[in-house]
Amino acid sequence: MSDVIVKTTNLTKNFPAKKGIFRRSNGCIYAVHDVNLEIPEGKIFGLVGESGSGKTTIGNLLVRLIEPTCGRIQLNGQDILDLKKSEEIHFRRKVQMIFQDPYESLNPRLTVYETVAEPLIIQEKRSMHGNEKELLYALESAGLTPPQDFLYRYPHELSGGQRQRVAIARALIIRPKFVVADEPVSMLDVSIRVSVLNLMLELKDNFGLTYLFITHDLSIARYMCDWLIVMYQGKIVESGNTEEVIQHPLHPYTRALISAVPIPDPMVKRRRVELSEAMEDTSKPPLRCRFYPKCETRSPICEREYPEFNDKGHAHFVACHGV
Amino acid sequence: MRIGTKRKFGLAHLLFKGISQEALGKIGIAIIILFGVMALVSPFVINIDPDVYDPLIGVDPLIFSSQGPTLTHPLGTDHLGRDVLSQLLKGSQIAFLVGITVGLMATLIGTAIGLISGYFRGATDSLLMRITDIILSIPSLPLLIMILCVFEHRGIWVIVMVLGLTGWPITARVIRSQTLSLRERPFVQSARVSGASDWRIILIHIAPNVLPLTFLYMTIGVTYAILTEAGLGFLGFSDPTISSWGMMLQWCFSTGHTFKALYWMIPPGLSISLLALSFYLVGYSLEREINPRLREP
Ligand SMILES: Nc1ncnc2c1ncn2[C@@H]1O[C@H](COP(=O)(O)OP(=O)(O)OP(=O)(O)O)[C@@H](O)[C@H]1O
Ligand SMILES: [Mg+2]
Repeated sequence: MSDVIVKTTNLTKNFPAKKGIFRRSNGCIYAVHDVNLEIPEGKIFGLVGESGSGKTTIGNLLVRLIEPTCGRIQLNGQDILDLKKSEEIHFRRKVQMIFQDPYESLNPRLTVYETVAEPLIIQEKRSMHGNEKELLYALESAGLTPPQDFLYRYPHELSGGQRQRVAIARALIIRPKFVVADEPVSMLDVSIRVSVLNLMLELKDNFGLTYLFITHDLSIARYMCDWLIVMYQGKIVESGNTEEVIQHPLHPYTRALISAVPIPDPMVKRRRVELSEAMEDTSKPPLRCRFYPKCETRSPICEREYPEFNDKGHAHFVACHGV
Repeated sequence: MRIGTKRKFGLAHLLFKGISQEALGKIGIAIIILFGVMALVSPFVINIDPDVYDPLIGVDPLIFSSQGPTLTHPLGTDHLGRDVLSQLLKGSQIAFLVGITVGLMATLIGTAIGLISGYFRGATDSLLMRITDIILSIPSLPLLIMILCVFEHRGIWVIVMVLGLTGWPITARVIRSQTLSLRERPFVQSARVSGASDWRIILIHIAPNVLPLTFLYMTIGVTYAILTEAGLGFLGFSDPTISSWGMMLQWCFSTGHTFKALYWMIPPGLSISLLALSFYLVGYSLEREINPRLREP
């Protein structure tokens, strides 16, 4: 395996759960719990799981939009949680994020020029003017051609796909090493998804990027990712090589997830494992396996202790007592 | 390559669109222009003969009591023989001066407090919002009169300062709530990921997005200032050395001419209502274009 670029140790994020008219804090939501990740450099690392499983929270933690409750995050071996102000700006240079909704992630009152140039202006203390060369290159790399046509447009003059390309150009203009892409195509029209995904693959090679690619769509994950992590209610339940995880899912949750994906090949029949409807209260302290209430193969031990994360060979890890 | 930005989405464009779409907005603008012209004409009228047409010390030597309209005094004179039209024109100047200055001051303070409060939240927010609550909860006219009584010489600038320094709480609240929601938007997060400082985020990403709303509240602030200054003037708490519309009413009333000299009473009264209404109309017609709550279906 290549070098590890991002490593987390026991990463945990609790949100206070505020209920009632006085919004008193009673208990908390364990959005991310004890997550250990090792993201290899130059790879696309997929994060899948249903809505509310904590994917965005992990992404936000890795780019330091939010601070973890506890745990450590390292970038190239350096702890990023206790950086000094002067070091933080260097960290911001190496890590970028592509957001889910391109209608929300661009400031409606800034031109494409102003939006894309901003990281350059902040990082290199440049002035607003005279960045055309870098901008045209970044826009062209992001597939906006001819780039000079886009410089002085406002977001409302762009299509969704074009907006996402602007967001990508903005993320790449300072040549980051690590990019968190939080469901980058889920808000886009199906017809342009593949072209944006292909662009991201192309840019990864050209710019030597590492992606954390968050998605709830397993077919997109399969198309994009080298490695896959499956999350369920703030916990990693399975991880491994993408093909390995999708072909031989071990965790009952992963199996349910995969059988819920439309099957591209009609000759292959798969049994649908139904996820029962009962929503589990995420705000309880996590002792038992999170999937216990919905699990088909549960046994008494699953209620008493959380399963260890075990290597089942071929770097395929799973957290389940039943496997 | 195209040089120069095309500000299709700029504030001016938005204001123009908002005003031109509503008939009421156009009426408002027309009234404002009318009074603007009156304010500009004022010095020329005085210069015809300052001894006669100065709104305060110019006295027609032939007239010793209030008289109705004549050729030399189209709106008549007051009880001292001073020209009512000249006072009215000067009053227009004063109204703009007071209205715009107070409106600007109050919205600037309110916007700054709202931005800081909503962006930094926490203790800063609590402190600023408690101050806002206090100012809001005290009835404004008695408060103003109380403050004004502290000053021995109530120049017009004292009035402007007092109105400006107390007129911001509503703007502050509205801008704060806008800021609270804007600060969570992905484009602000995106700026944060790129290393933008708090002040950069406030000034470049949040402020331009609240600017139209700020402008809307400024029109309301101007209305408030014009009406309040007139009210204070009528009650005798404004600057007596300036012929503001409120003072004109006060002179008319205190000398017992209220319904005997309509040529003297109606012009300032009507002017106050019209100018206040015009800014209100402009704000009203802008609101649909600007207020995010009305825009979303
Ligand atoms: N700022 C917050 N305050 C309180 N709770 C939060 C906050 N952000 C997220 N949560 C909670 O944390 C949990 C995980 O949320 P997260 O957004 O990470 O899920 P997700 O996997 O990205 O879901 P989706 O696929 O819908 O984007 C959810 O239960 C959510 O309600
Ligand atoms: Mg999410």
